[in-house]
Amino acid sequence: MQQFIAQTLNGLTLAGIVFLVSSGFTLVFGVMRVTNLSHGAVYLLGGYIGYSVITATHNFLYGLAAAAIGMGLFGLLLERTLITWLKGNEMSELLATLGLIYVIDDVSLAIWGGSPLTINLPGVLGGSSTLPVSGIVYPNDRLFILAVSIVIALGLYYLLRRTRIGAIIRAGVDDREMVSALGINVRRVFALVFTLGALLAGFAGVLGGTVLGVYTGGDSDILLFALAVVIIGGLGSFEGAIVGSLIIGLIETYGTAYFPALAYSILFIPVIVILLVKPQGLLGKVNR
Amino acid sequence: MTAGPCQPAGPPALAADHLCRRFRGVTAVADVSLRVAAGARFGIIGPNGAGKTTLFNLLSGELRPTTGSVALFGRDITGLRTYRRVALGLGRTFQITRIFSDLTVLENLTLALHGLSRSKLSLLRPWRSYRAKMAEAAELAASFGLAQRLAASASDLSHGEVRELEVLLALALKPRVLLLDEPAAGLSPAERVDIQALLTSLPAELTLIMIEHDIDVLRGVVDSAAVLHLGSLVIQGTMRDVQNDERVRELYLGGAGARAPEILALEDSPPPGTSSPEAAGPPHEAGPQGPTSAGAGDGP
Amino acid sequence: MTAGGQAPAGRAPAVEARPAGPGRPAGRGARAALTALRGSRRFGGPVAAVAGGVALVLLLQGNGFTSTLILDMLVYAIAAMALDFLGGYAGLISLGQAGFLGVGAYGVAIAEVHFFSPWAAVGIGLGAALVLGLALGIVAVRVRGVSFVIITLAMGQVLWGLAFQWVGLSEGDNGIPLTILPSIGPFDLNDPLTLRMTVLAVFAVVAALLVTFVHSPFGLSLRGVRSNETRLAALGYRTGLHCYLAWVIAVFFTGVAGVLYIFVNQLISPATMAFSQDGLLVIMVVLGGLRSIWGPALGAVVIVLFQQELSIYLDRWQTVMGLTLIAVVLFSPGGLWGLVRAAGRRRDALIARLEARPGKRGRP
Repeated sequence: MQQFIAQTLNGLTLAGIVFLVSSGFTLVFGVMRVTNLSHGAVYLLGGYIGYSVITATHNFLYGLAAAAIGMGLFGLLLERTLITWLKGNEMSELLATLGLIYVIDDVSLAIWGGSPLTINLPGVLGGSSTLPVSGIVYPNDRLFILAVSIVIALGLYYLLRRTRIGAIIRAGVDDREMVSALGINVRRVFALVFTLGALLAGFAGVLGGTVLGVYTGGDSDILLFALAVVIIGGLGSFEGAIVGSLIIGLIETYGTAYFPALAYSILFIPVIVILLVKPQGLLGKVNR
Repeated sequence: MTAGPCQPAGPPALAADHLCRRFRGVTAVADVSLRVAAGARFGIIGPNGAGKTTLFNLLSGELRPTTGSVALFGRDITGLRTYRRVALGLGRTFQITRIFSDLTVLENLTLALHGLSRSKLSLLRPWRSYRAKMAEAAELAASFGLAQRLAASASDLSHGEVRELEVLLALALKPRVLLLDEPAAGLSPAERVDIQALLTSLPAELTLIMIEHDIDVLRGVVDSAAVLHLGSLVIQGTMRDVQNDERVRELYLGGAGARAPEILALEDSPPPGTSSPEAAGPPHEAGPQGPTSAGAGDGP
Repeated sequence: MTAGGQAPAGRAPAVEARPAGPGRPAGRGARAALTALRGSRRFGGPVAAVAGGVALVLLLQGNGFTSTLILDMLVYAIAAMALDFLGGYAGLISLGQAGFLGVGAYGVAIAEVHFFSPWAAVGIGLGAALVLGLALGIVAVRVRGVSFVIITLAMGQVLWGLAFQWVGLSEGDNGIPLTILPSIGPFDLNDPLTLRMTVLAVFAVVAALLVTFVHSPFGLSLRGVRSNETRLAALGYRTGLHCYLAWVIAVFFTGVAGVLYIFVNQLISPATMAFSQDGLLVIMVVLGGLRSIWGPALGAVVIVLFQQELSIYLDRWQTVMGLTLIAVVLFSPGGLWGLVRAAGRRRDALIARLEARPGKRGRP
């Protein structure tokens, strides 16, 4: 039983990281119809940057900030150049971001080398706590990630549901032309959403770097999770990203723990089920 | 099973029974029942947003009805997918033209011509080697003046030519019933004359059901019609009945102020009610009258 | 082999180049030849013949390194052409094809490990790819566009993950070497020369088949699916079925490439199925030119060359790959083959200008 609770917490932690990555991806798709395949690479690069900053400054928060802001700026740059140049051609955007993966991966390899790195959290975050009720001893860094993910999820939810800019973003998901017709500067909304997505991915990269590690191929792994999430939850749906992340995080964790042989393919089962039953995703609303 | 326009016996070419379609709280089509006789020239008119295209989508299979049924020559087709209805003789054109814009006109027609034959799954013979189909494509194109445009990319066609191609694609499948969704939309007056000529030249055995706002296109082609408003059927009958109907007049001439501006916005098409010789009151149109719609004395 | 490529927009498709038909001035050799050349879309034939000749010579030469390079090019060309058939023509770009290539290769290897005869192993490899294609296709063709890309990416990754983790079957990271190639009578693939000729022959057959398929009514229907699927359905086509068939064909040929892969390299490991390989196949197709069949083969040649040669001089060749893809997407979406076609159009325009000079008989 204790083992089960621990695994559940692990699953929720993974869900948190995956949520941070997939929410950005799905919002960018929903608002801009851009499939940013390099999203995973941005996550990885964030992890590498965070690692370097933390190693240099011994300050976790600096690392988080550097990764988030750095990747946010990178995202802004990308959106202003490559995405703008491609003028809304969906396939071209997909292909171009595919090419970008190679560039980011290779440059990261050149700078940080091919060996896996782990970000170790200082102080109390590096230790463990005894949880109430069950008496399990659980690592603090995972608890921290869990807490941060929940806070950010709530924050994003508040942003989308309660603020004007959030309403504009949601409207953009539904009907981009209409938003433009309302006199809203769509290009600024695009830049904002894309930057936010990259920021979240970079931030997630540091968090993920603590429990999953920062390693070559980490971008493909996280991208696979994020894509599974959006298939299950629905491309473009924020709530779908939450639901999908929970499903993926828990299934992946339970699967790896209880059926180790099936580890990689266990992800596939909910994906196939959704494609057979409701191809546009549980909460999918974007018309394809 | 061909029938002339006045054939009373035999099942109606197309029958809709209590068709209803709801989208998450919005009722787009509410309890619409229609009977269109074989060989008829039938119009579907109504203000924008009345549910006409949704009705067409229900008839052609793009949408499933929430309730109600559709029958083609007496055969229930409600549960059939679009391609099955096509095979049974139901053809359709689209208001926003859907042609294959990155293919040539010849390729467009070829796709249509193979639509109902096994050969569309043929892997080994080049499609250009199907001589009969190539000849048929050339004939089809020639019959509507597109013979010179066979090699042109569909994206290079003028708007009028695109509308013609749209109709040709549907005709290539040799339908028994043809649903035309605003075939004259967006055409210049000269192009409208062409389209009208095209429509009147269609075979008499072909049953036509047409959504259209342009009164002259309607007048020249259609002998009976149904009027839709907010998803419901207001009246179904001959054009004369429709034009004289009180409810239709109120709809178009201004009971509710909300309706009138839409009709006024149709540049060359005065509302049906005002163009008949018996119409009372001055025309309400804003904007210039095109030459084809001047003179209400043309009669039905 | 029929002419490759599609007619550029505006070309009269019925006017195939004919040197001297009825009604044309016979004997006016040069002008007749010009007229013949104009409108000719026969790039594929001559180019393929020349390239084939070069490949043949290099393969016959016997230099092990060069021939392995050429063979790798041919293997990946097969996979790239298959991907073009699915992605270029039907618009279903699959980012999981390396997975199916791996399945073909692993099928052969695992079968041999379990003491099946070499020919049976080939059958098992092809069979595995086919069965997997038939099964996964049912799910994959339920979506289009970006969703399709995503689901195939996921499929490819899962297959890679299985190769990695199902150690009992796949021997994990180490991969499985292949020791014995099939032979039948005097025809022995263990002999290098026979192997090379066989790979070349298979490539030629696959290319011929794909070009034929593309020009068939089915091929036209795929272009219709990509162009306007709802309209195609309204014309009586079961578009889901057409997509499914295209998928199965593409996956099967990719499996064929996989079988040839392990013959040529005599080793299969999970690295062959990694995401970067999926991406590389897409780069080959896009660089070569979508919707041309020959273009992707050319793209495969270029990329394999880059991979082998460029990596010697340049550590950061992967960056070059990525930037190349971005550049093609930005500046020349038609890829290399698109450039060839554009050159062909300029040639035709030049010929037209030459023909239109005063004193010459106008075009009939």
